[in-house]
Amino acid sequence: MSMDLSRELAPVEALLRSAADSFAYPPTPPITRSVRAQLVEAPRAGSERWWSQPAFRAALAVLAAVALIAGSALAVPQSRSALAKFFGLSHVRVDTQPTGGPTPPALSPESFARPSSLGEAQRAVDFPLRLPVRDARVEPDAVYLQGEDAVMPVAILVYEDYDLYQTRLGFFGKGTDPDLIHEVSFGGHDALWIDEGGHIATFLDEQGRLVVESRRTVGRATLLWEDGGITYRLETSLSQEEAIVLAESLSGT
Amino acid sequence: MRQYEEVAFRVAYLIVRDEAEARDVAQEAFLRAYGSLGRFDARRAFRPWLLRIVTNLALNSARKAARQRRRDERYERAADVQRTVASVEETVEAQERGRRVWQAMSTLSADDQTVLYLRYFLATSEEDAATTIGRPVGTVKSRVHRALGRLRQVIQEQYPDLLPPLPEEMGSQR
Repeated sequence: MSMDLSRELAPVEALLRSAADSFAYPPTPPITRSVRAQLVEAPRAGSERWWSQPAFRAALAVLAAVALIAGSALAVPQSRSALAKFFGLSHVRVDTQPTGGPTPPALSPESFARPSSLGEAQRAVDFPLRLPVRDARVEPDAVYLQGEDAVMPVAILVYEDYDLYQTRLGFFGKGTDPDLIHEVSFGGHDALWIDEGGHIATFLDEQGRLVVESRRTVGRATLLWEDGGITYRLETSLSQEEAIVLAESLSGT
Repeated sequence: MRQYEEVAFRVAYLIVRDEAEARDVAQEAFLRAYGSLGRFDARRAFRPWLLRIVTNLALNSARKAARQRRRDERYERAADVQRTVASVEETVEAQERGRRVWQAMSTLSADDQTVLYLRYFLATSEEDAATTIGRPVGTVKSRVHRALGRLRQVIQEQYPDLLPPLPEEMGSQR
């Protein structure tokens, strides 16, 4: 645009840039907090009315039929990835609507992943696995590989008080009340902290579809963040502060 | 969401010119964005989509003439205080200059103001500005050009000290 500006307009453009650089904006208010509070209140306030409407029940029946037809191939709508962007992560989706249907079991890695070793897990993934510095000198208590036949397997390192998931896959969380989700940041990374209390976790494949067999209830608190295209998921009994210290200490194998 | 908080508030503030109103507009924009996620095309950038919601809400707010007048009166009172401070603090000089440019911009149409805020105050690319206002990139370019011309005219008439004289004007003064 500058090149096309006439000689008369160039000083105006310079004046605008200068004005923009020095403009005294008021401090940005804590909008996120108040929006989240309203998001928590809104569904609760409207839920009874919606559920009691015959039209809503009819629509629900149609949706259920569609879901049955679609079966396990039903993909998460692509637009939902906007939710992840809303919460600051690009490969993580968190659906904060109330959970419907049966709650999946709370499974530990041995129920859905194959026992492996650190070396084998490292060979299976195409990125360097990272270990928390405080545990870097010792092998994890256990290592598991999930979806090793898939393009993007998941490496799971199990320690005494946390399980550390590392994958190029995305992550989908459901049934989580917005007030249980906390945006945190550390080391230049935006992250999500989900309080303990049971949310449903499902991995997403490279097309953003649910990996149905990975669906399970997670009782422990979870720290989620991304770094260099890798999604890290720390399920832990540690406090949020301790978990962040642990996450900051990750180093290459 | 937090990463868009500042830009949403700032564009709202530039347009509605009132801090409390800008906060309300930004909040409402986030709530509407959340409610409209089903219509958002995830292949596109989120920022201009959100800014479009913010600017539309802010423009609607600013168009309410009676409220605008009350805000202007409040703003003028606040500006008087700020001018006093500026005379004391030399570092505020640049801010005062920015404030006067902003004041000059208030005489432009809402469309002109919006495109100038997006391009110069928020450093939005032409592509993102086009998405934000819902017009082609070519329209953004031409609208910016015309808005700059109109702003120059306003500044020449009402704030002549803000712009350096053109070379030919300097020549005629000799």
